[in-house]
Order: sequence, then structure tokens, then C-alpha cells
Amino acid sequence: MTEAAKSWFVLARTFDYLGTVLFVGGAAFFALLWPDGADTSRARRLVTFGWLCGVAGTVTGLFLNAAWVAGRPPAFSWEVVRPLLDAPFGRVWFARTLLWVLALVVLADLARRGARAARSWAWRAGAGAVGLGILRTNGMTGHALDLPVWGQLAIFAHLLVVCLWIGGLVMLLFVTLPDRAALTTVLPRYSRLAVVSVGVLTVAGSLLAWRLVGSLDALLHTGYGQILLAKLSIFAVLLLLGLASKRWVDRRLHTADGTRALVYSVTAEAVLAVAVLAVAALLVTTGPGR
Amino acid sequence: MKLQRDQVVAAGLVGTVVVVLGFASGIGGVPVAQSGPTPPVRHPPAATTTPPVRPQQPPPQQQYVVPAAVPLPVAQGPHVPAPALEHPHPAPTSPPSKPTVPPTTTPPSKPCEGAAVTELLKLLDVDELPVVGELLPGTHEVERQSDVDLPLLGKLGDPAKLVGDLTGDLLGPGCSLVADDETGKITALLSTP
Repeated sequence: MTEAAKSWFVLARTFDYLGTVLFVGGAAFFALLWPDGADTSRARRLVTFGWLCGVAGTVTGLFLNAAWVAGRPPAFSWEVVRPLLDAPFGRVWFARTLLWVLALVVLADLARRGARAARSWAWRAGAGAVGLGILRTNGMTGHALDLPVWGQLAIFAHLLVVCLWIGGLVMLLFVTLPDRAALTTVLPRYSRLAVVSVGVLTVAGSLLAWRLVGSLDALLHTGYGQILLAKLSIFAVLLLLGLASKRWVDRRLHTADGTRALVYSVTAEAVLAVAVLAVAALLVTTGPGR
Repeated sequence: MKLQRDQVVAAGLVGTVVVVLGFASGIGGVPVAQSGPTPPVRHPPAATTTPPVRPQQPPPQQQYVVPAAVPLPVAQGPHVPAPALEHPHPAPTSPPSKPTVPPTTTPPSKPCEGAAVTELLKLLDVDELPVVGELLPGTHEVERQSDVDLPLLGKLGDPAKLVGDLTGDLLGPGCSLVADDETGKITALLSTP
């Protein structure tokens, strides 16, 4: 594959991850933290944007994979994609695409019923099944296949809490922050969820890094290790910003006149989070350091 | 109890997700032993190889062994190599210049190229390797260089690299080395199509 094709693939994976985070994280935000937010058109548009990113990233990734296997230039052609159905990794990509199609049902119900849907167990079950299914497919391709059961669980937990944390962060930034009344209710809940998510993320990420890299030497001297270091560096800054936001929530949420400091902090967190997703997309296209 | 429409839709969604994930996992695919034109031969490993079964242990059940020169039955569908786009497949920055699979629906499929690999392993003082469908007791799949008794591989300039290549890309995704637990010697090829 040429460098250009690889760049396109990394870009597709970035959109795929971004879409997954926004869709799964957004749906979880409605279901767990703020059902009334589903009546806000901006919130629904954000989740829909996540769905579009996820579909675009997955379908583009599928066709790029197919084109590479067939030895052809990338083209959106069924003839190129058809042979992938016979390969295990191809079936996973098809399954992921189908799951995104199923997610349309979740979106349609959300658009039709809004907060009533977000409060209903039926919608939560459907959205949960589709969202968790999409997350599961991430552990069925690439270097995740080499991992034992605990590694698969770690990948699943890693992705789930990333969605809860980052997806919630973006919802917070674009939907909740402008609404001071909602902010007072939602922010403490999100803050608790974020703390738990970061804890799980750290444990799962450490286990996976240990399994996939294995040594300090590999971390420092392999391409995979160096990309992982870059990701960890951005993550560290992200954590510091998150800590600053949490301190603001704990100390000034009910007394502050404005939320400008929090808006700046959350905006910076969101930008860094997207950068982490892009680095993660690069990471999955690189062989582990072991 | 009367079911509401949204509950039916949710149940349908959950069921469909389960089916789709099952499809992605390959559940329902044609088993190896039933899909090939030639049924696998069931007999002990060739006498020229180091028998990995210890004498005091009972004979293993359901171990299908074929000679190295006989290709295994066709696995489920064509053996399309995984793409270089994601690990652990060929490095994205240095793909093969030609695609390994033509864009047809029925490409040839040989999960484990026993003869070619055996020729290569002669360099490691391993004369002939049986191709096995599953691990025998007392053996393990070689996943990294440390699983193999490297001092036994003496004749090569860089045996570690060769073993690394064999456990990596050379054998392909459906084939790997099997080593004896105690001696670390390579005893067979494991075909996992």
C-alpha cells in the first residue's frame, strides 16, 4: 500500500472512531445522564453527525481494505468488495457496516420521540445492543485477534469508557454548557462518570500496552511504541485539563457568575481528545512493538 | 401483557445484533473437516519426526495428521490474506508489490504450505514436518522466538530472525510452528485455517 493509501485509511479510521465515540457516547449521555437532552435538536444533530462519521469511516475502510486485497486502486465497487465476505476480517467489516445501518433505527426513534425514547427501557436496550455491538467489532480484527480473553475484555472496556468519557465531553461542550440550568444538574453526574471512566481507561490501557509492547526497549525503539508514547503524552495533558475542569465543578459550579473558564478547559479537552483518536487510528495500522 | 411497538423493535434490534456478531465471528461457517475434497487422514505422526506425545500419556483424541507434502482440505472459503492495513498483517509501509489474491470468488486456498516450509526448515536441521490440525499434548504453538530452542538452530547466521519471520509473515495467518514443551524443538506445522 502506498503512503497515500495508508493516509486515507488512517483518516477513515479516525472518522470511524470519532463517529463511534459521538454516537455511542451521545446515546449513553441521553440514557444515563440527561434524557431531557434528547429533546434538544442540537444534541440529536450531534449524535446524527457521529452516525454519519461512523458510517463514512467504516464504509471507506471496507473499500480500502478490499481494494488492497484485490490489488486494485480504491474504488467503490461491489465487485471489489464481494471477495471480502469469504475472509474473516472482511466479515467483521461487513458486520460493522450492518450495525451502523441498524443504528439508523435507534436514531429514527430518538428523532421521533426525543426524551420519551431516551427514558424508555426499550430504546436503551436497542441503542445499547447496537452500540456495544459496534464496539465489539473493534476487538475482532487487527492485532486484537492475538489477544487472550482478558485482552479482548480490556479492549472492550477501553473503548466503552472512551466513548462515555469523550462522547460525554463533546455533548457537554456543544449542548449542555450553553444551558446553565441543565449544567447544574448534568455536570456533577458527568464528572462522576468521567472519573470512573478514566480509572477503567488507565487500567485497561496499561494492560493492553504491557501485552502489545512488552518492554521499555520496545516502547522506546519501535514505531508502535513511539506512537503509543505520543498518545500517552496527549492523554496526560488531557488528564490534567480534566482535573482542572473537575476542580472547577467541585468548587465553583454553584457560585461562579460565568462558565468561561470551564468552557475553555472543556474545549481544549475536546480538541486533544480528537487528536488522541487520530493517534489511535494510526496505532491500529502499525504492528505491535513485541 | 401487551407488547408495544418500541419493545418489539428493541427486541428485533437486539436479536439482529446477535446474529450480525455471530456472522462476524464466523459462526455457522463450514467446518474444516467437512469442506475439503479429501478427508483428513487420522494416523500418528511420521516416524521421522520427534513424537511429541509422551509414552505414559493416553493417546490424544481427534487428532488429524497428514503428511507434510499433502495439502490440507480447503478451509471455509478462499484463503484471502488479511490486509496490510491493520496489524498483524504485512507492514502497511512495505506491502508486496503484487497482490497475493486475484479478485475472483474462487481463489486457490492452501492453509499450510507444508512442502515449501519443510524445505525452509531443513536449514534448521528439521528434516520433515507433519501438518497437524490441532496441538498434541506436550506441545505448544510457537508465538515468539523465545518459544524455540535457539541453540539447536545453529547453522544460520541469524536464527532468531528466521524464527521471527516464520512465526510472523512467512507462514501466513493459517499456519504456525509447533514446538515440544520440554526440548523446544520444532516438531510440526499447525494448520489453523
